Formats: sequence, structure tokens, C-alpha cells
Amino acid sequence: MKSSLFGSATPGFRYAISPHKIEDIPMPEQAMLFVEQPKTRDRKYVIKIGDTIKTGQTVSVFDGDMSGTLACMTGCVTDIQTYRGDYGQTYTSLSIKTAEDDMDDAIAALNQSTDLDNLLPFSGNIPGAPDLTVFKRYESAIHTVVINVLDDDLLVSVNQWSAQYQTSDMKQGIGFFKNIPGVKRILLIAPERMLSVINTIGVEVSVIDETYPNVLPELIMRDHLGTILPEGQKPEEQGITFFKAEAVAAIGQMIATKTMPVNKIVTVVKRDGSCQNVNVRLGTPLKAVFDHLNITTRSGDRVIIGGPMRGSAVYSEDIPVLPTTDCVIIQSESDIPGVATTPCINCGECIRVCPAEVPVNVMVRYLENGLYEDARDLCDLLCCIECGLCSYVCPSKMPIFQYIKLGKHELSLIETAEEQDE
Amino acid sequence: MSKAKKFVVSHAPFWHNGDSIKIRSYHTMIAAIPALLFGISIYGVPAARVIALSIASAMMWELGMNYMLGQKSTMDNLSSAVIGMLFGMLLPATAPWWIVVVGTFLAVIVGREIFGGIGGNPFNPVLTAVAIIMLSWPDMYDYYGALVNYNPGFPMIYPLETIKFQGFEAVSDISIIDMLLGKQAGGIGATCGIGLILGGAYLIYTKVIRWEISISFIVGLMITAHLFYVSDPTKYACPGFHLLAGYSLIGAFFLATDDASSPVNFIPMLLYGAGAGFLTVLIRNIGAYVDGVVFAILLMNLANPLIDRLRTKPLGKVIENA
Repeated sequence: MKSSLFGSATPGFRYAISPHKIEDIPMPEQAMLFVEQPKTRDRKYVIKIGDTIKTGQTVSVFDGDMSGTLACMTGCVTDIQTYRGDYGQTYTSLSIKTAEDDMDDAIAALNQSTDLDNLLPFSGNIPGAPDLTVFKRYESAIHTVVINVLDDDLLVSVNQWSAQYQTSDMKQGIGFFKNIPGVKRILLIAPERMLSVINTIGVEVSVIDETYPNVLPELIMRDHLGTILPEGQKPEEQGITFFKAEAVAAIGQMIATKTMPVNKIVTVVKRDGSCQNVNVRLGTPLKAVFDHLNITTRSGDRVIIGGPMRGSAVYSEDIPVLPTTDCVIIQSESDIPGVATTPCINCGECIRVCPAEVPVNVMVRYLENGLYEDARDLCDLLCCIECGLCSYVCPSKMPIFQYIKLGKHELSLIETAEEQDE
Repeated sequence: MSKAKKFVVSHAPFWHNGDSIKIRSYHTMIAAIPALLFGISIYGVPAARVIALSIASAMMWELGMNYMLGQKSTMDNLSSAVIGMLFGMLLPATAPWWIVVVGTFLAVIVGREIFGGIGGNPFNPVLTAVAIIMLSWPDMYDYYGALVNYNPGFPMIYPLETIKFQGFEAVSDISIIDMLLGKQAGGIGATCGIGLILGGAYLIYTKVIRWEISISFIVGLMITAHLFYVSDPTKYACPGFHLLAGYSLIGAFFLATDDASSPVNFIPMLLYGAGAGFLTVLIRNIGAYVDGVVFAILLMNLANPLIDRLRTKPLGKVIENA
């Protein structure tokens, strides 16, 4: 999957255009539930093989861990495994033998009221993983809600599909946001070609230039809201929060139908680069998706969750479709560009391509040697908006993006350690 | 079954634009072909011999260094071949074999490898070698002495030296067009103005070099030369002459633009290029050396880490007003 833009220093990447066709994938016999493991050392499972769970039920997995997770299917736990994700995060995966949907009482509560408090338990567990807790955590400080109609990576067209074909749900969802205390402004970010549909929603729209990486929050804030996000801060600290169109539609669907949305749109990118949107039950293992689409995977392939620029490669096709999974890419062995150990030759390509104007060429020298604090203090590591373009253009094929993410991760560990000392 | 499958796991991004150091080296070599072919056509087999030996020995030095340090060979990115080629292009066609071998040693090992290999050199490796040879064996770059036996059908004049000692009027019979077409004495690949300009345009088009450096070098050189010319037209050469004589053009397109030793930010690139152009004319007109390009670029290399700190404020740096 090489780009045709060979030799060009500024890739004019356009975001994908959503295909009209969508394929439904039936609920698989075996589904998966992923639960983030808490960072504490001594954790004890309270769930055991043989337990049954209901759709919408809050499943507590660990002893003393209150958060739990929301089941998106009904069935019986058949296996408990550990999955290791990026940067030391581990997950517990529960294999579930699925059965006919049996709704938990939590969903029945939706019939009484669909205000913020009732929706909070579903936060993060419905398609698009909307984080509704921000309205609680920042109390009434959130004044602007930005809804993204484009997806944040190339080839992905999930949000566009939602905006195009779930317009009435979107309207409902936006109505929900309007009623949240403190919210003064709701802004839809949409490309020009979708305006005919978007304008029917009846909310403020700002037109976005469809060139990668304009959709990233920092750039939307700069280009459409006229505010600069200070380095290391979250948009919420400025009173701005971002939602995906898909998440808004899911909220709208919840309000309209009083049930939990459990199906998600996923863009599947096949070996030849062709994209297809599928409608999948949350928790469906990737293997089931591949089988349905007649995709066979081989050793040496790369399976990527997320887009080609910002996604993450996984080592197993048993992992499920999560509320955040927008895209799955299969890359053949021969199409994998690979990285090299060649040092930076100071060609300046990354400087020219960086949308945040970070001095990547100098920063990468600090990062290579583990001088994360120097990279932050002297080279503005935290200003990086994580678009991945520097690695894309690097003639030395350095894994610059990986160095940056690792640097940020290590810095956050240092900060947490310092906080604990105090 | 799926347990047995081993997928490749790596970090995003999962695409690459296909650029590589090797491709950049190839582009540089392709860009040098017009000027090189011209040089070889004028000076014949001896010139080809110098270039071939220079490329070969530069690559051998890198291989030797890899072997000595127990590293995997880095020769296949062809960066040392480019160094060898450029070093050869600056030499007169009659350069003895040992100066080529010593020169490429100075360029590849002293100029680059001891600083950590590709990307680590603070000075342009080729110019480091040329400067050391200029100081140690000054006769090597005396083109009158070197090319005395050539009679290519045009006056074998090394214009910069003639101006230096006899004034601008002494070379008034050489037209700018002749110089553009390479009818002058000089390094094997450094005389053909039109060939170098073509090569430079190719490098800018393929984005191997940063146009800001080349253009500001030329502008800086021409403006400074013009100021001198206006002050005394009998003594100092006109700007066009300075641009086409000596190493000016090869310096602008092939030497000043060396990746590791030049800045990457916009304003620093302009400062660096203009500074090198300015110093070139200064050294030529009032300095001790006949051609100033070598020392001008080396001096600007020295200033590079400092001037490259001038950069725009990145996204997210907010000046806090108290």
C-alpha cells in the first residue's frame, strides 16, 4: 500500500469519501469483551468462567474495582485471557458464547428519563465511545461542543456514514447536548461536499478543508474556533470538547429508541487498498469480520486497528471490535515499509511537513537517547499533535512517531511518580 | 489456528512515501551528470580517472570504517559515493592519484565518520577535505599549473586568479556566455555553468535540496558582488562573473546544501545561504584566497547550529501575559 505521491514533500492527503454500500455482519457465536486492567498489582478476578451476562449489564471483573464495563451482548463467559496493548496497558478479554439478547434493567431505566445522569453509565461503551463524563468532571465549564463529521485518519469513513445516513439520530443527539447546562455553542465540522445533508441538521456548521491532518482537535481549534490549545493541555481545560458524528448519532439513537446501540460501523481496508464499510455487533472478533468478507490472513501480514497514519497494529485477530474501533486494515507482508536504524540525516522533510512546526530533526536526537525531559523543554515535544507525517516522509525511515509517543508516555510516567512522591 | 499466525506489529504510521537516502543519493548523482560529462569531454580520460578513483576510494573508506568499527555496511546508501563524486568534481583533471585517495579519506573519515557517520557531520565533508588540502598542498588547486598542457580550443584561463592579481579588465575578453558554457579553467565538474544550473534545477524539482539555501546563496553573492563592482568596476568583477567563476554554482547547488551541515528552518536557511554568498565575495575580493566558496560555506556551517535556532513558535506555545 504505497502512496502514489512518491517524491512529494507535502503529501496532499485527502480524507476518504464514504461508500454508499454497507454490509451487515451477523452476531458471531463467540464474542469478546475487553476490560482495561487496573494498574494496581494485586488484582483478583471476581468474574469466573460460566457466569452469564446480560446486554447493558455493568460487569465488574476485578475485586474492589468499581468501574467495571458495560456488556454489549448476552451470553456465558467461556474463557478469560490477558491481552497486552500498547505502552504497557493490559486488558482482560472475556470470551463470551452469545445468546439471544436479554436486556439488563439498566436499559429499562432509559424509559424513565434520558438526561445526562442516565446516559453516564453508557459513556464510552456505545459506538464512537463518547466520553460524557467530561460534563461532570469539568462541571459547567464546557461551553463548546465540536462534532466531527470527518474521521481522524485516512481511509476511514465511519463518521461520514453516520452523518450521511443517520441524520435524524444526529439531530436527537445534538438536541441532547443543547440541554446540557453550560453548553452555549455546538459546532459541526464538515467538508463542503456534505453540506447539503449537514445543513438539514440545523446547527452551526464550519467547512473544513479535507486535507490530512486538518481534522485533529488542535488544528480544528486553531482553524475553526480561533483558539490555540496550550501544549500538554486537554481541549476540555479550555471549555471545548470533541465528539465524533458516530457517537452523537449513537446518543440520539439511545434517546429515540430507549435502547443501547450495540452495532457499529467499521471501515475494512483490504489488501488491495479497497475500502468497505460493515455494520458489526460490538464485541465481534476481527476473525469473524474477516471470515465474513472472505479475507484470509497469513503470518507476516499486518493487522491494523485504526487508520494508516495513527492506528495501532495488533498481534491477534481474536480481539474484538470495540466502541473506538473505526477501521481495520490488512496489509500484506510485501506492502509493509518497515523502519531502519539509520540516523537522522537532517534533510528537513519533517520540518516542512509538520503541521505543528515542532523542530522534529533536533527533537528526535534527544528522544533517541532517552532525554525525554530535554525534548520537552527544548524542542516542544508536547506540542506534537500526533499526525504521523514526520515518519511518513522520513528518508532515513526512522520511527519518529514511535519515539514521540514513547517520549510522551515516559514523561507521563515521570509526572505520575512525582505526584505520588508528594 | 489463529494462535499460530504471527502478524507483524509495528508503530504507526503504516505508510511511507518511499523516499530513502539511496534515492536522494541517486538524484544527486543524476543532477551532476551534465556538468560531469562536460568536464570529461573537455579533459578526457584523466578526468574520468579522477572521478572514478574518487568515488571508489570514498566508498572504500566508508567500508573500511564500517569494518573497523564492526558495523553493518552503510555503503549501500551511496552517500559516500556522492561525497567522492563531488570531491572529484572540484579537483583539476591532472590531480595525482594519491591526492584523490588522501582527499577522500579526509572527506569520508575525518569529515564525516568520526562525527558519527551520516547526518552527524558539523561541516560539509567535501569542503573539509578541500580546505585541508588547500592549506597542506596549495599547488593542488593551482589550475594554471595543473592544466598548462591542455588546449581545448578556448583560452585556458582560471578567471578568479587573473582578476585577483590583474584586475577585472584583464579578463574583459571573456564573455559571460563563454563562462556559462564552461569555457574556462577549473575543477572537472565545476566549470560548466549551464550544466550545474540544470543539475540544481533538477535537485530543487525533486526536493533533494532546499531551494531556499541555493537561491539565497546566489542572491547574497550577486548583491555583494554588485556592491563591490559599483565601487570600482576596474578592479572588481561584475556579479554575473562571480556567479559563473570558480566554485560558485557547484557551491550553491551541491555543497552549501549538504543536509547535515545546513539549517532546515526557513529564515535560518535564507540567512545561511545569503551569509555564505556574502562571505564568498568578501574572501574573493579582499581576502587572501583566490576562491572564497570553500571557506565561506565552512564558516557558515560553523554558524549553522546557532542560526538554526531561529524558528517559528510551534502550535500550542502560548505566551503567557501576566
